[in-house]
Amino acid sequence: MTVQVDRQVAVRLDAVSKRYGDLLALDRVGLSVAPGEFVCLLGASGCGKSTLLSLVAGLDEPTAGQITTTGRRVAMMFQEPALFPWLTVAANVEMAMRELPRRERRARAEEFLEMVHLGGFGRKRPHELSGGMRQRVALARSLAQDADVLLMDEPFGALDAMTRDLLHDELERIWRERELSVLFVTHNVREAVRLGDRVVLLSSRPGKVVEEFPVRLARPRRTDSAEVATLAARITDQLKQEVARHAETSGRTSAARPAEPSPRPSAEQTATPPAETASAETASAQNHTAETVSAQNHTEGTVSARNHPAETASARNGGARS
Amino acid sequence: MSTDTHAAQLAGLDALEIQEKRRRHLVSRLWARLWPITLAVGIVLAIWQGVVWAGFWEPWVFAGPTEVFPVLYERLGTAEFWQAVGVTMRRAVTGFAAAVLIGLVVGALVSRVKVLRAAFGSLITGLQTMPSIAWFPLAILLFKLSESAIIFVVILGAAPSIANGLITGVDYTPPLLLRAGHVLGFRRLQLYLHVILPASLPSFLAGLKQGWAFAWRSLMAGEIVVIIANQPSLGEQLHYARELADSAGLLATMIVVLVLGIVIDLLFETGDNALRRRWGLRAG
Repeated sequence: MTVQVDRQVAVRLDAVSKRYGDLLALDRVGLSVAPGEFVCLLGASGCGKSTLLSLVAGLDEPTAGQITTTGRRVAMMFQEPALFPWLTVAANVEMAMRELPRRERRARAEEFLEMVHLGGFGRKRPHELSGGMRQRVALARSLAQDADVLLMDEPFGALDAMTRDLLHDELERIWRERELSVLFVTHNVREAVRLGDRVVLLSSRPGKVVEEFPVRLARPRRTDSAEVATLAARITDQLKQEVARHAETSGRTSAARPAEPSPRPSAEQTATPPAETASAETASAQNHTAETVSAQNHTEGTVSARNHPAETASARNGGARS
Repeated sequence: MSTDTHAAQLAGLDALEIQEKRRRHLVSRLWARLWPITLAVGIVLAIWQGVVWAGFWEPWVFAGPTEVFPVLYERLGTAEFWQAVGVTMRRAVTGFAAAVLIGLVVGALVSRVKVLRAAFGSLITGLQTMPSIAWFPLAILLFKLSESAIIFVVILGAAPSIANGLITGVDYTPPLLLRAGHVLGFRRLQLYLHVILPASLPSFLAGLKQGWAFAWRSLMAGEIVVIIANQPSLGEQLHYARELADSAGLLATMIVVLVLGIVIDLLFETGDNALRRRWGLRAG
């Protein structure tokens, strides 16, 4: 679903570009997150996912374009917990509430720790906890910021699968309870489908919105369910094609203009899924095909790659040269 | 999945992943530290005695442990000895405290202000390598043969290391923590106070430790060069022991200087270890 224009928006990026020297990291990215929406940002490495989050968090300035965030505060979680090792767990959470009086701060820190099922661990030092627990402390600290927009940069990337599954449930519950708007960056397609209301696919170098996939599966979902796997397979195919095309363009000599970017089968929409999900795919393929909406067709410069492969290729090259 | 089972699963994982590490008993910890030291001291004494027995030098030039330790024991009972230790330690503490203060201010400014960094960064490192004895002629010109001259050199010996420790700590603040601080709303001075300074504490401690070593060396050099009347000090004792060819007395004083240096270094190490344990930078 494209975001309705009249609807209030939690985060909005209008033609945001970011350039580091000669490298164009992000190219006219248009993206918006509705209040209470969970958006997953997906892409191969070098697509500028993390750059994009840094821009939204205000850690860095965009070269061009505009970023609007409405709401109280923007909190951010990193791939690593980024806790302060010189403080106890509780004091780390309290760092987010410096404006409150000390006693209230203490009480609320304990509340937030209980929210992530870490009540009673406040006096521990971060290094005394496991990786998953530390990441929950980081989540508690983000929540303590009283933010309504939560940016997450591959927060569960370094965790084992079981812990990650549990934290997905955890995050989903908290997202619902606190009506957060989440922009979640990952390179794990299933994770994106497991969590997101919408999965946004970014191309690499420069990062550009290629396509958006609404996820209309009932919650709570399971990462290992057939439905999740099916949609994930389709997104993965698309992602692979993005990556493959990148190899081709970089391999070409400058004389041979990439007029025809890559072997893009027109039958792509019904691309053969991996064997293990074949039966599920046929069952739900029609639904999802109908749901797939090309990304922000109205936004200048971000054209759906699937519908207009040649145009996208030229836009990409133009962007890289400019 | 219900919230309860969910919480139970999380708690189960947590319990599996955390292991309470119990620290060993104080006595066994002390013993573990003490026996290697005892062994080392024993070996050094044996070599010392061996050299004396080998007879390279006359016994009144190079006294053996059997002569030195009685002298040392006798000294420990005299008021003059303790006065000398008192004077030396007073100078050490005064000089070191001033060096910490100066090192902190200079380090904070240089690490914070880009222009100052460009101007003084390498100068501070250069000062660190300058032998403190090279400062004494100037110090004596400036302050005459006074305690100020000694303190001046002690400060110049220690302050660069301390400043450098802080600067290095600031430079090596993990960028991730800076970003986390930024997201939490810390800017400029607040970021410096709440994130950068605490993060640079281990490096600052290392700087303090090194600064102390330089201060102690500078102090001994200074006390041998600058001798002040009615101010008995360890350095002065070394000087007179040489003049009087009192080998046993000389070595006894040297042992005192060595032991004092080691004891204070141990204090720094204890602080450093406590910090590392709290931060989880080392096992145990």
